Amino acid sequence: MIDYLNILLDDNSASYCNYTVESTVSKLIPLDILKDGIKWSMKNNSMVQYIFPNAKLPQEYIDVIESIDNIKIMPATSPYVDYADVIVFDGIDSIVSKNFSPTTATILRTNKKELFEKYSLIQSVIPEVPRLNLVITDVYDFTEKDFELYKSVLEHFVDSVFSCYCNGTNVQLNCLTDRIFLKDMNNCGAGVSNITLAPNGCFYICPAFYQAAKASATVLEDTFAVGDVSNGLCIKNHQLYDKENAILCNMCDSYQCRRCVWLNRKQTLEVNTPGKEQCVISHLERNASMELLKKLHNKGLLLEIEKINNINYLDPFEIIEL
Amino acid sequence: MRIPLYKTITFIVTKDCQLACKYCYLVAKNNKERMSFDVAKKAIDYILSNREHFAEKNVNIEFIGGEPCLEIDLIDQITDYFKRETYRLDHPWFSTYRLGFTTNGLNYNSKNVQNYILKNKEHLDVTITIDGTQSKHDLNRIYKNSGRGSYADVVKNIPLYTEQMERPATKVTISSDDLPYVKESVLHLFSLGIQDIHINCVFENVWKEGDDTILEEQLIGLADTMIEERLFENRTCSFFSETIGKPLNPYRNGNWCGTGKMMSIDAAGNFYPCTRFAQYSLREKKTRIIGNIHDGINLNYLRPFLTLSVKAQNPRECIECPIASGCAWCNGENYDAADTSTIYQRSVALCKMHKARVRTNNYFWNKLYRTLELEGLNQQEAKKIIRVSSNKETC
Repeated sequence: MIDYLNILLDDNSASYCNYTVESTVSKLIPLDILKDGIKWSMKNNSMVQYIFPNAKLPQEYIDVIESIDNIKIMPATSPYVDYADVIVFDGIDSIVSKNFSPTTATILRTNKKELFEKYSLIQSVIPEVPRLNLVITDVYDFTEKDFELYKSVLEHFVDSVFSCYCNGTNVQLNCLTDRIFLKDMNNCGAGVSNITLAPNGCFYICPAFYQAAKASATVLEDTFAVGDVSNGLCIKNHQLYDKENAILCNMCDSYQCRRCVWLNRKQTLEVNTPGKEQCVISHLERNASMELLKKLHNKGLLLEIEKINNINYLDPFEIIEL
Repeated sequence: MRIPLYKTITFIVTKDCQLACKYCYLVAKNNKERMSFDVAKKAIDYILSNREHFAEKNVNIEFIGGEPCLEIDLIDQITDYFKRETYRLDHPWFSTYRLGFTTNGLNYNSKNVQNYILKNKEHLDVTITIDGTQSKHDLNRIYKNSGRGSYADVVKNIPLYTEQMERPATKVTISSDDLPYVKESVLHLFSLGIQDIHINCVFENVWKEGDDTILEEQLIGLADTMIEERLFENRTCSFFSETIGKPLNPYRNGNWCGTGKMMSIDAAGNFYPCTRFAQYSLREKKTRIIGNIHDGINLNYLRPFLTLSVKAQNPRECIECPIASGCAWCNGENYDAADTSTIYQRSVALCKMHKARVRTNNYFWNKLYRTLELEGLNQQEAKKIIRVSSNKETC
């Protein structure tokens, strides 16, 4: 069941995840495709999530956009940012000293180099924002040294979040607090609970597949399209997006992991198999969540939450036995 | 992850072959991609110096083509280098290695091939492929230039082969057109002195309406003859095995095929999870390279192969099939035939042929045990005189 239909309003719609938007030329989704997408979501009981570009939209688009209840994901530089449900910041510097609405979720896209250099700036933001989703855009490029550095950054974040809780501010930082409150996998859900409609009228598993198709359609044998808005959704081998058919994920308890199927495809050539980097990063986060929860328990906080167990691996691949 | 006992490393020494067998899965054979010794040497250097990726106690070094014997001198060079280096490095594989190749048999009696066999006989397994009677063999196994059948040129080497091998074996491949010749072919091969016949239907979707009926008729006839002439006592045909035709073991979720646990190397120095993922084996899909002699293995590319489970790649009807055991698949063919670029979609092209095989297999064992029972043997006694097939499906 597709709970969410992401509609890319423009080829230049902001990236709110780890993929990169290469296009610099604006190409709005044709109005009839936008209307068909809305009709499709109504027929399928899906919530529409609009992904906005940086630029202003024609009034006729605004009218159509508002013809259905929706969620708006916008870059922080959008002229409509005051109406956003989710704001995307690109780079750590862009998020510092901003005013945050208590009802708006915040996504911060950064890369490892910036994260390791400027994590203290993120620490200063953590108490200010009700929910911060940290997105590292070059997970695929992490080395053993980077894992160590990320572990250390997470330790700093544990201190910041712990202080907030001690002060009565129950902040949310995806890489630390999500795992604490989850009892089962809660991942991106691309291809299972959400799907993306691109300006070309085709459905994609997520915006990253569309961007990849645009960038190298002539090279790749896959166009990555999974149907179109006129003829409907057609996800071949759809079962491979389910956790049950992802062997490593099915045995994993890093419940907060994104399980990014695009990153899987990029790193291992299979959508159901994560690369080592995604697994290790998720486990570092899981273990940092475990340490945070221990500290909170010791302080008498969140005692209703079950503790997270110690494990002796960072990559489930190390322990898998078929 | 548990380390397997054996590592199979396959050198694709050439993509050339004298023959153009109609059922051959190597769809892009050519005479340009010949492995150089330098590439082979670098591959061995990489393998022997990266024990963490090659921790198996034993190694099978395989040579494949095209026709590997076209490059017997190169094979000899590679073998010598492997032996020298494992000795120099005090590598455990020095004493545990096996060598092997499957040949079309045309050059089997040549001086260089014979020298290689004699030099390495303690460690060497050779299989000559002969498909059966001349009718069956020449239907598919033809010369690439003339289209002439190759039976006569292969069969003349069989006496030398059976004399040299402790238990001579062959691989027989069955496609749609040669189904009527299965029974006579197996019996013919037995008569030539071949003792173990590894036989399988091609994995590709070549099967026509009614082919399962023809296979069933052929195998019933074969079963009758094997029992009547008591061939079961010292001959095996892998179509008949007591282990097939049962439900899958619910406690065993590992992949049937060894892809990813083995490694193939081609003339360009690229590594593959098995030969079926090299481009010359693929009709529709792009190759799946998992590394090369310069950069080593990309472990992320290898992960999906090493985590291929029965449950994740099979449709529910196969998992729940009451006669699923022994129903083989080839992950290379699965990938090539899949709707998307995945190794996780099993091809079910062989389903009706497997069902026919299971019916005749049941017939064979029921008839055999009843025959032996009527001769006064109980089941335990009967088992002692039945030669058991290894039931190894062949690629």
